[in-house]
Amino acid sequence: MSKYKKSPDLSEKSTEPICSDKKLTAVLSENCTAVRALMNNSSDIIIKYFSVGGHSMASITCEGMTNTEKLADLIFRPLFSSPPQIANGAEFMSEVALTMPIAEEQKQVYDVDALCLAVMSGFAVLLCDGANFGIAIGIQGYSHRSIDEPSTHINLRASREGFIEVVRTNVAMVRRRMKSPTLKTVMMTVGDRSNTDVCLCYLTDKADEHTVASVTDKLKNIPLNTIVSSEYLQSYLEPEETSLFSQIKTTERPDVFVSKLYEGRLGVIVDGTPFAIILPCLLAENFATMDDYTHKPYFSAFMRTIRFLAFIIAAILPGLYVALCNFHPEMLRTALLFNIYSSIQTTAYPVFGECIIMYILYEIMREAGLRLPKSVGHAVSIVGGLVIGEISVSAGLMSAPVVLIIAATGLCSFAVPDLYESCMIMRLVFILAGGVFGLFGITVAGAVMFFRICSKNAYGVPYTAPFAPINIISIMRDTFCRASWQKLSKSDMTVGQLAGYKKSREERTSGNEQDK
Amino acid sequence: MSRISNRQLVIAFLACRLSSDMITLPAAMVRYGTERFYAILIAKILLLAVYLPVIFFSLKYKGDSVITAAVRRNKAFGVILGVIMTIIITAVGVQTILSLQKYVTDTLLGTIMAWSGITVITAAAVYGAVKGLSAVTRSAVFAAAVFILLIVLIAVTMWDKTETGYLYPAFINDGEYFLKCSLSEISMNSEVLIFAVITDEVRSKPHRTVLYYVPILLVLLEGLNLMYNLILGPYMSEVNYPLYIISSLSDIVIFQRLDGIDAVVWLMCGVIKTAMLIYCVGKIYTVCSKKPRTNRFIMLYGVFLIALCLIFGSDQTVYNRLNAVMNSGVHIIIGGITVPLAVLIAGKKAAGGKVKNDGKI
Repeated sequence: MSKYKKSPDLSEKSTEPICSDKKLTAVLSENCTAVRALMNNSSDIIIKYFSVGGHSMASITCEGMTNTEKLADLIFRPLFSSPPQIANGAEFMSEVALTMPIAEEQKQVYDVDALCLAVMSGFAVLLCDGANFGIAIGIQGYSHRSIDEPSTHINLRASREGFIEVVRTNVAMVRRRMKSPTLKTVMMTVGDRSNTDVCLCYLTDKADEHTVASVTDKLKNIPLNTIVSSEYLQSYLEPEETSLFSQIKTTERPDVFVSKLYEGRLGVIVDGTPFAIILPCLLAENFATMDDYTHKPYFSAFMRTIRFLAFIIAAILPGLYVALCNFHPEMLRTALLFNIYSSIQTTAYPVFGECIIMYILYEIMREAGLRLPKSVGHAVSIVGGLVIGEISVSAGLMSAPVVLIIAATGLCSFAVPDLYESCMIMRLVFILAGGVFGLFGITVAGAVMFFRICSKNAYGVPYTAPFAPINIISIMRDTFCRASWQKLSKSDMTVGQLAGYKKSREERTSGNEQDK
Repeated sequence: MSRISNRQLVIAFLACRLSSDMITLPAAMVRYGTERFYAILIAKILLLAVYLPVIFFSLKYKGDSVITAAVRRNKAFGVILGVIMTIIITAVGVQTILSLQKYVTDTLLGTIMAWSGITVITAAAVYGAVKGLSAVTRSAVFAAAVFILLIVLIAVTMWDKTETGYLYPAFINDGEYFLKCSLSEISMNSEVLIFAVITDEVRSKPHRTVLYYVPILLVLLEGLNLMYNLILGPYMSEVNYPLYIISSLSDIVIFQRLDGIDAVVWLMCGVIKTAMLIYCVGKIYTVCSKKPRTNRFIMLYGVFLIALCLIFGSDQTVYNRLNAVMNSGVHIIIGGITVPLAVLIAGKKAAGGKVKNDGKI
């Protein structure tokens, strides 16, 4: 029975794919009609009829997805110039497939569903009257963005190449950096309607087999209809979707991607997005950049310490300020205390309220500047930074120290961009805790935060490793410090070698809920 | 089962023990002089003896805890021991929470209502217990890092305020104080109770936890005592929280005093200790009832603990009596020595009665 959907409503939430189990027949017109019907007579599906060696044939392509020059040069020209002299349609097509290797990627399709999928993927499909199969030829030629410098994770000395939206180009970029036979790429299709190409990459001698099996299983069973971004997959691959800290990292950089694969991690490249997924990810990795490996070790160590410090400041400084002003002014230096109190005296709101208002205003300005066109974004910066900041202080609405602290924390949070979202929430929690209970509140909130972060295990790897469970060697090797290449090259270290790593599946799935 | 390494447990135990020292140690026990140096040394040697039954147990019954072994031997026997351990751990928990609340009132937040302090501390600890032992022990590493930072800051800023003249030749002036101090030092080691309950959750060689923990603790406590003597000298017995006072004298460039950071460290360690105690009760319940570990029980126990704290904390006399009982070390004798010994003896009798089960009781 046919499962054609004449007018599929893409907005409807259905997990049923648009598919047909109809096999191709030996009648060309029937096959073409079936394709037209399955594709709802879509205008971008081009069916061209022609005759070669006495055989009625058709080429089916999708407009804009195939390279027309290749279509002419690799398919039509050889086919018309020296067609096999065989009368039977099926044998003619078999001969074409065997003797005319016209493209690197070539496969035979036997059903309408596979044919349509191939066409939508940029293949040209040849059909012949008398043959109950088609030949799909990979001559994809859709336009795409050229390889460019990544928009995020900008580095000074590392590679300027970033991933683009085409999965195969991205896989090639990875392979170019890792010419090892142990690099395995597994291509699969995810998304019942979008049929998005997803490539799982790992090094067979480094990655843990349980993790590979688990990730493959998860990818194959993602119940989404459409996948237009790697973040869609992220929530399915992450052990805890609602967690404040992500145990999965995304990167636009092939060099970072390859180096993570070498550490025993798995990478997932999704077609249509330049952001590749790396898993599992550790907390400490958010503080490392590719430049750390191109600079001198002492400078890298210094910069990493600065980033750790920036993160701590970004998370707790406003909360700490509120706590100190309201509950523990004795901790402040006398001169500073006088200055702060003279500012507070001239403002309308208490410190706690000031901090909350200023923080929310800052986030609104950031969000507004982010979504607007660049030219308007600059205007927002000027209005936000100069006008609101300056005038609110001079009008006595806000005190200068609060504006300074919120601005400083905003700046610090940009030093660790991967943790910006987590930092934003933590900051708000600490402001509330500090405002209500002072340092007592901040400590309790901190303890809860630590319990939460420390309970996380992604695919058997403790999220807080190598800090907790502590591994001094790892910390000194490539966490706080970065050892010299001479030392790093002496031994490889993978995530599986971290303290607290749970190798077996039983260990990962037993115990308390957080360890699952 | 979520397993942890013995090194993780050592750090967690140090956090627990040092928080006890900072929060519950009465001023009378931190007197100026050399007695406390010897008292700490003697107490740590005796502490090794206190740990011996659990060490023997962990060596004989690998992969078992005292309660799991007792339940396997005889369910009724196991349940009785479980109830005893629960009562003792609850008493330690109540003392810890009340001490923390008192510490918070005395140092960080004088205006806080007792009930809100108790509730917030217990809620945080319950959350830790729900997250599991590995989460709590990993958190202890961060607390330890802040402690080290604090000590370094104090050492740097107080260097010029030390007075070596405060140290005088070592001899014991006051025998009674020496004995009291030694007993107090032993009674504060309620980690032995936690160790007895979670021995089976240590990945390998749980006995090594004690072998690392006791020497490190000895060095840390002696070092802290030396710092008290050098900086506070004769004023030691005048103050309730010596390290807090020393921190308040510290002046780093950013902050005029470090007492807030000091209080933060011990509060954090106290919450970790309470979380471990609550986790232990949850574990005992799971083993005795043979039901999977439920967060609901831990939360209910948390509410029960809050209620107990409110009852005991409402009257200073009751609180003082509880402290007196706990300072006598009776909980260590029962939970840390008697219970493991009882299980060992029961196991020996079972083996004598030719009940063999692959080395298990």
